[in-house]
Amino acid sequence: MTGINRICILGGGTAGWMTAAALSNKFSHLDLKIRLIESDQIGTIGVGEATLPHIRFFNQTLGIDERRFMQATEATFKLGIEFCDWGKLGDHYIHPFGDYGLPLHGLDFHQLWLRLKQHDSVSRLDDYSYPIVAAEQGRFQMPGADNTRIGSNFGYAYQFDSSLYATFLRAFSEANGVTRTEGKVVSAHRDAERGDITGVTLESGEQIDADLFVDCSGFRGVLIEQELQTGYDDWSAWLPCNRAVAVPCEARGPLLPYTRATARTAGWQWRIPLQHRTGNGHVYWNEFISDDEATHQLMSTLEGPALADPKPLFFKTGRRRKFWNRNVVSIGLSGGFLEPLESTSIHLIQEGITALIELFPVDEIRALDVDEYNRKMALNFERVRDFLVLHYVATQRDDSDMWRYFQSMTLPDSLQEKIDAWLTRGYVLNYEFGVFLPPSWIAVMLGQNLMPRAHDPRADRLDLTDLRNDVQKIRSDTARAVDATPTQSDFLAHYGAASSSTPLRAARSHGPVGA
Amino acid sequence: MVAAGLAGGLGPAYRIVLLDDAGDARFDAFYGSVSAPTGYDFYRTLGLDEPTLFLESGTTFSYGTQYKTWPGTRGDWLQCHHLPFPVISGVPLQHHLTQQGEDLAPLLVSAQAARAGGFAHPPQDPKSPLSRAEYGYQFCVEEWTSLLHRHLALSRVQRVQGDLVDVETEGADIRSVRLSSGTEVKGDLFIDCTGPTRHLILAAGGGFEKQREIAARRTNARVEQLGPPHRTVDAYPDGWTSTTHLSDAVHTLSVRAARGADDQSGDLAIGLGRMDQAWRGNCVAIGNAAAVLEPLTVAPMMLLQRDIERLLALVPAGHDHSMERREFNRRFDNDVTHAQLFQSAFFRAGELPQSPYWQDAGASTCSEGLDRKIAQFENRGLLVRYDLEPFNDEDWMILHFGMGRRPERHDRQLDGLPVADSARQISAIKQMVAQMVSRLPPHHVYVTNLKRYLEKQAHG
Repeated sequence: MTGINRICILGGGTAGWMTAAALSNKFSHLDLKIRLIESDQIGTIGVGEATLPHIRFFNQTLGIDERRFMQATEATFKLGIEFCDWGKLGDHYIHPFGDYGLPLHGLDFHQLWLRLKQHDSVSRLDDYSYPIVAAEQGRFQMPGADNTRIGSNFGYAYQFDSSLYATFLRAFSEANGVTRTEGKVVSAHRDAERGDITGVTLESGEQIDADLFVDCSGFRGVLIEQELQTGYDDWSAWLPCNRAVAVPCEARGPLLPYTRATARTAGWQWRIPLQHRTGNGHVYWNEFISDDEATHQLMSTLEGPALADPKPLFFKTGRRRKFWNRNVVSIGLSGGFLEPLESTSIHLIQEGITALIELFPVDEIRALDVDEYNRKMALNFERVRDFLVLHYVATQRDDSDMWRYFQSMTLPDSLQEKIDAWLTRGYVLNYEFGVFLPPSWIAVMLGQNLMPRAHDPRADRLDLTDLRNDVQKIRSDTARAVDATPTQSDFLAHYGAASSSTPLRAARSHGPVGA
Repeated sequence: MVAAGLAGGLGPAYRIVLLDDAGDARFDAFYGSVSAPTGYDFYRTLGLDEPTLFLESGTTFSYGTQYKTWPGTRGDWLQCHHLPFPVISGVPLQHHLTQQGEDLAPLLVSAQAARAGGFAHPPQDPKSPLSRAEYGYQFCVEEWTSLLHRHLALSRVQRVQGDLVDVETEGADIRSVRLSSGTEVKGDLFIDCTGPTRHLILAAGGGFEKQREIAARRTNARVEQLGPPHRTVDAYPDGWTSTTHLSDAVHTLSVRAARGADDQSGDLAIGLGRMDQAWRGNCVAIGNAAAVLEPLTVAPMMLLQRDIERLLALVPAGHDHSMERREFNRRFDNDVTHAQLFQSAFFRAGELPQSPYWQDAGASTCSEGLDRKIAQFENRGLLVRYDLEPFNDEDWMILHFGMGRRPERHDRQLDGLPVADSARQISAIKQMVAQMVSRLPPHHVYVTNLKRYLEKQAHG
C-alpha cells in the first residue's frame, strides 16, 4: 500500500480542473481520492482563453470529443496570433502555428527566401505559410496526415471561454470520481517534524487532510507561498507589465481563426474571437499609464458593446522559486505568471500537469522527483520568458516611455545571443526542450523588422533560376491550398462544432464603444 | 570528410584547399571502426553511399556493439541501435519491465538479430518487428579515407602536398601556413584536421584539456567468412579489445592506459580530452583535433559528424566570425559534454579493476549531469534528457539495462492495470522478435547477395 493516496487540489479555475481531469483520468485504475476545493466567493482569473496546439493532445489524452468540447466552450479554431504595431506603428504580422514553405535541398526555407530577397523583390515570407494566408482570409480546415505537404504543414489550437472549459472539465472530473468541495481555506496544518502540509481547514470548519496538495489557488498561492513561503523570482525587470483589465464584448465581423495582440503605449491589448463573444484585455505597466486611462484605452477600442464591466487584474511576472515544495505542487498562476502575449498560460499549466504525472509519487515524495520537476518547469518558464521579452525589444518604437525603457534594457544573455545570431545570418539558435520552435522565432524577428544582414552561404550553391522556380511553386501551392479552404464559420458548421447558443448581446451600456 | 562536406555544401565562390599531409593519419584509428545510424544520410552527402561502401570497401553492417565481461556488470550486453520503444497502455516500456522483473534485451530486435548473426535491412512496414531496428556500419577507417580521396579527385577541392612546417599568426588569427615544399597557403578560414597534433588550433592560442592518456594497438587478420553484424568489445584487467568484422578481415583494437615516456611497446598513444574552444580566431578544429573520446562506442564518429555538420551550418557569412565562433563553441561544448556523459556511464560500474586504465577511467567520470541521469533512472526509470544529445533515450535505456541498472520503482499508473495484460504484450513482442530473428539470413549471406545485386545494378 502506497502512502500517497489522498490528493487535494486547491482552486477550481482552469488550472484546478485541468489538473483534476488529468489526474483522475491517468490514475483512474488506482484507489486515489482526489478532492478539489473551490469557493464561489473567490473568482477565477481565466486569462488563458487562447491556447497553443499542444492543448489538443491534452484533450485527446482525456478522450474528449473535439466537437462536443468546442460547442461547450464556444471555441473557435486558431492558426496563430496577429501582432499589430509591435515593430513600429502600422506594422502587423501573424505568428503561425506551422512552418514557412518547405525545406529545399536540405536548407531551411527562410534561408532560400533571404537569398532571393537579395536579388529580387520576392514577396513577403508570410505568403509561403499556409496557416498565415488561411488565417488572413478567415479560413480553416484540418491539416492532412502528411505534414510535409503544403496545406498540411501546420498545427492548430483553440480560442475558448476558459470558465466554460473549467466547467466542462469539472463534469469530466466528477464523472471520474473527483469530489468537489465548496469552501474557502482559512488555515493549513503542518507536520511538526517534516514540515509537510497535512491538511487544510475551511471556513465551514471542515478539515480536509491529504498526502499531496496541488496549489491552483492563483496569484495568492495559498499553500505554496502563504503557508510554505517558497519565494518568487521577480522578472519585472524584463517583463514589467503588472496590471491588466479584461472585458468581453459583442462579436463583430467574420469569425477569425487567430488571436490579435496590439501594442499600446504602455502595454498591449488582446482580442480573442469566440463563437458567442469576443474576449478583450489590456495588459499594461502602471508606471506609465493610470488604471483609468488603461481602461479607457481598452473600452474605446472594443469592436462591439461591452458585455460586462471591465475587470482589473494585478500581477508580477516571474516564477515560484520551487514549483514543487515539500508536498505541495503549484500549477497555474500560483507557480508563476507570464503575460498571455503568446497564449502560454494554459500551456504552462499543461506542462506542469504532464510533469506531475510523469513524476507522480510512487510510495512517498522523494527529493529526486521534486528536483526533476522543478528543473523541468524552471526551464519551461525561462524559455517562454525569453520569447516574450523578444516582442518588446525587437522593435523600432520609441514613441512612449515604455518603449524607450525597453530600448535601453539589458537582455538575458540567452536572448541576446539569439538576436545576434539571427541578425548576423538568419540563424536560429535551436533547443529541444521548450515550446517555441524556430518558425516562431523567425515569425517574431522578421515580423518586427529584424532583417538578417546575410544568409546561410550554402544557399548560394543553388542555381538562381531553379531556386526562383522552386520558391514560386511553393507560393502558388500555398495560395491554391488556401483557395480550397472553407471559411472558419462554414467549417465549424460543417464539422459539427458550431455552438447552438446565440451570440451574446449587451443588456446595458458598460462604457464607450470604439468606431 | 570536411573537404568533401565543404565541396558539396558550398558554392563555387568558395575555394577549398586540402593540405594532404598536414596530419598523422595513424591517429584516425581513434575514430574507431563503427558508425551510428545517424551517419547514413550524412555519409551519402560525402559520396559514401551504401553501394559505394559495400562495393568498394570492406564495410559491413552493424546493429551495435557487444560488451563482454565488462567490470561490475552481469554477463554481457549488446548495445544496439533501436527506434523508440513501445508505450504500453500509456506507460513507457521500462515501467512494465520493472514491474515484472523482465530484461530489456529479448525485446530488442537488433540486439537479438546481432547475437544470432543475422541481418536484413529494416523494412518500412511498421508491422514487421524488424522495422524497429536501426543499423550503422563496421568499417576500416583507412578504406573510407581512400574512398574519400577518390571522391575528392573528382571535385573542385585543390589538394596540396607537403608537410606543414610553419603557421603564421596575427593574434588568434592564422594568416598563412607554410609547407615543406616551400608553398605558402593563405586562407580566410583554416580548418584543423591534424588530429592530436593540433598544429593550427594550438597556434591560434587554443588549449587542450587532457583528462587521461590511452594507448592502442591494431591488428588485422584475413577471414574466409564474414562474422556477425556487430562489433565486440572484451574487457580485460588492463583495458579492452574491440573486434570488428569486415567483409574479408577482422580488425582488432586493444586499448589500455598509456605508460608515458617509458613505453617501448610501439603502441599509439593519445590524450583523451577536448579543446577549451574548438574555434579560435579564424581556425576551427574538427574531429580528433577538437576532442578525443576513446573509441569505446560510436561517440568518436558521432562527434566527427556533428563537428562537420556544425561547421557547414556556420561557415561564416562575412568577415566577422564572432557570432559563428560563439555558436560553434556553444554547440561543440554541448555535444562533447553529452557524448562524454554516455561514455562515462560505462565506468560507473561498481568496483573497477585496480589497473591504471580502469582507475583512470573511473576517476574521470565526475559529472552532475551523469549523476542525475543514473539517479533518476534508478529512482523510477526516468530518462533524463538534455537539449539535442547525440545519444538518445533508447541508447541510454539499453546501456542502463545492459549494465544491470534497474529502476527501484515503476510508474504508479501500472498498479491499477492488470499485470497479465502487460505480461501478455511483452511476451508477444518477445515472441515476434524471436520469430523474426529466426528467419533472418546470416550476415555474410546477406552481404554477399547485396553485393551481387549492387554489382548487377552498377553494370546496368
